[in-house]
Amino acid sequence: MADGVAADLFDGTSAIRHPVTLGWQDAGLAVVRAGGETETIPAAALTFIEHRGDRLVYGHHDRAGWRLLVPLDAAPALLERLPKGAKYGGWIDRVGLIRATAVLAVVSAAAVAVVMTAPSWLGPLVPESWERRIGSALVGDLEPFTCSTPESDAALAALVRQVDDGKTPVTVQLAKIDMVNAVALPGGRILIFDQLVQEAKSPDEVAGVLAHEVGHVRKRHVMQALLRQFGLSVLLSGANSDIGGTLGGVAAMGYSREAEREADTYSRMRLAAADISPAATAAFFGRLRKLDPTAGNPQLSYLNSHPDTAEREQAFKAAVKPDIPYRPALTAAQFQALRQACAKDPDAEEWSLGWGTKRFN
Amino acid sequence: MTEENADKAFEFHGTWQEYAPIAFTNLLLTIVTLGFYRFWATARTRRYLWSRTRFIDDRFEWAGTGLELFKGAVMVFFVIGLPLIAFNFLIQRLVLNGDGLTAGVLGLAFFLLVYWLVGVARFRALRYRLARTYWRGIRGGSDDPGMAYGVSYMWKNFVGTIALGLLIPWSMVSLWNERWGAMSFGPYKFAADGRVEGLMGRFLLCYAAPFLALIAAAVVVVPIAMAGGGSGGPGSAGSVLAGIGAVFGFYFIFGLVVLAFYAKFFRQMVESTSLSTLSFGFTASTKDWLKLFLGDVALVVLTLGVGAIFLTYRHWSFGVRHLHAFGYVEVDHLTQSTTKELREGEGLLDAFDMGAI
Repeated sequence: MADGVAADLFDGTSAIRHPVTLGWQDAGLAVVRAGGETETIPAAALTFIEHRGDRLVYGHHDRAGWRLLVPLDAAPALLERLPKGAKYGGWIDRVGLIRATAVLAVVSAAAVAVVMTAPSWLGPLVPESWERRIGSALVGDLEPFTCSTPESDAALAALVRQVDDGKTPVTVQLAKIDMVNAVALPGGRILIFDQLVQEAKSPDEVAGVLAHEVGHVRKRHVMQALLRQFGLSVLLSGANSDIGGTLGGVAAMGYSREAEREADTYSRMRLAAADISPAATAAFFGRLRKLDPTAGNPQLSYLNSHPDTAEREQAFKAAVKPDIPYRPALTAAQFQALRQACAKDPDAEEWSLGWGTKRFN
Repeated sequence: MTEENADKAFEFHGTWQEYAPIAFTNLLLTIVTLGFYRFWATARTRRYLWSRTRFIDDRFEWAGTGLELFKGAVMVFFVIGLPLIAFNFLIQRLVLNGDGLTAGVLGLAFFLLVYWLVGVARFRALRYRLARTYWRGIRGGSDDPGMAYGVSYMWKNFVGTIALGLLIPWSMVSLWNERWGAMSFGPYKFAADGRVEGLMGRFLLCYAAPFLALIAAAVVVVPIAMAGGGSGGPGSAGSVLAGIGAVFGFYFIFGLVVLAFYAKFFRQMVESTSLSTLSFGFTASTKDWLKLFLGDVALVVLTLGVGAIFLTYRHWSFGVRHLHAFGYVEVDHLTQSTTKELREGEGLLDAFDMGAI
């Protein structure tokens, strides 16, 4: 102990500085105070705190605030048995900064790829019964706003039979909502807004829009949109954990442009299979184009949509085949029943929040 | 054993050259981890800044870790983030069901809840920072969880704003006193008895600022515009430049007046804060703050944004340079804090994106 190294000790109970000398013994580091009291600290109990610029600082595993301040130029024999510190933290120090950076970059890229693609393959794997349950939890009760008469129900059912090819049933309802729109909600529920039916020039138009929404359901876009938003918000919580922003992201949930195109393709395919002309749907998009589709209420995220209406109009126009004997999607009587459903159903309430918006799917 | 403070009680020993390797590797690792490393980056930065800051005869130590901050953030995500997302879905569902009134009421409740949480977060961030700051092996902290502070934060800001904002200085002063009065270091409680007196003059100037700016704009801009008008009519380069200058000048003058108020507020509040036998002082004038912010802007703009990684360093160095302490410390009486040891970081503050340092 004659060659003890001078150091300073703060014992964590008070701010008094204790001059000490240090030396290694079999049992650990002997810390000798000026008065001669000696304490031996087992090597395993010592922790490296930091390189303070002027001193090396060590702590004690079990004693908060216990600090040993060792001069930078202390004898190497003393220093080499003291614990070494972390620089970047954890395993990054073990593998080295460059290798760690490369590994992390690859992992991050993979995580982004998974989050971006997972919804499209994970979405269809979620059982439809789950989606229905999630749907009713998210959407709640819309029954008061739906219009139903025996004749209109029969007409809707006839329309659905023609444009849907799925096995599990979709629920299609007419809603007393003053917007030219239709939506696919979680759980295989489709709402056609009454105003859309009122402004429709023919039942073919309603069939085209309905087929589009059925496309969202059959291609599992609803679940995909939910998963994508959830995945992104978790991933983004790393880059920016601003809760407001995350909520904004979730609130802004909607279908991707690809999903909209896929639903359009489905719609054209189903119209063709049912010998219904896509011309009326093309005309519908033509009318939409003249309105401003961007104005709207951001709260109603399910109603979001964005694809270029001109492009959609063109695609439906191009699908019209000159040599096919098209037939109307509904008879005049059926279409009439659909148009009068909301007026005739005494229980149907007008859906309104007091602000008028028009959004288009 | 008594140690009188020497020349200046606080001194910063850091250099940007020494900090640069920390700043750049933090940036690199934060990018490749999609931001997740930022908790560890914050801890490394603080450890450097604290360890290069001397108080009397010893340096501070930041004992917080990145893992703690990360845990705090994860906890906040589950306890607050997820419920808030669920709440948001509920509001959407209500809107969808046509129940605008309930949605509105819940939306208001949601807003109040978040406002309260912001107050709690501010309190807890200060508490966490003190609890993880050591000096000579002694740390600070608080036994108050900050819930009541959140309520004060809510109503005092409301009252402060409601009367044309005239009581804002009162709410700022009162909240500072309340926040610091609940903190301690070692066995001693901080005391803060800041007063509004002396602040109202500069605060009222903030109301006058738009008019001052308009007058200044008129004096400077009108002659330029007229000169421009003489050569090329309205829309000429001269009047466009004058217009841009007027808008820029307006914001500059308004910002300057607000800064003048804040500089005085900060000086006065630090001076009214004490810890047992220690009192504090802060000497940064409006000009000093202005130079700091203009320097920040220049640093960030000239480096195309990369310089932002040095802002924390600059602000810390600025703070330490202007912070003074008077009195003495009786080190044998400065015993270990008995407040709760904190092992979760300021996740809440982080969640609201307010972690300044």
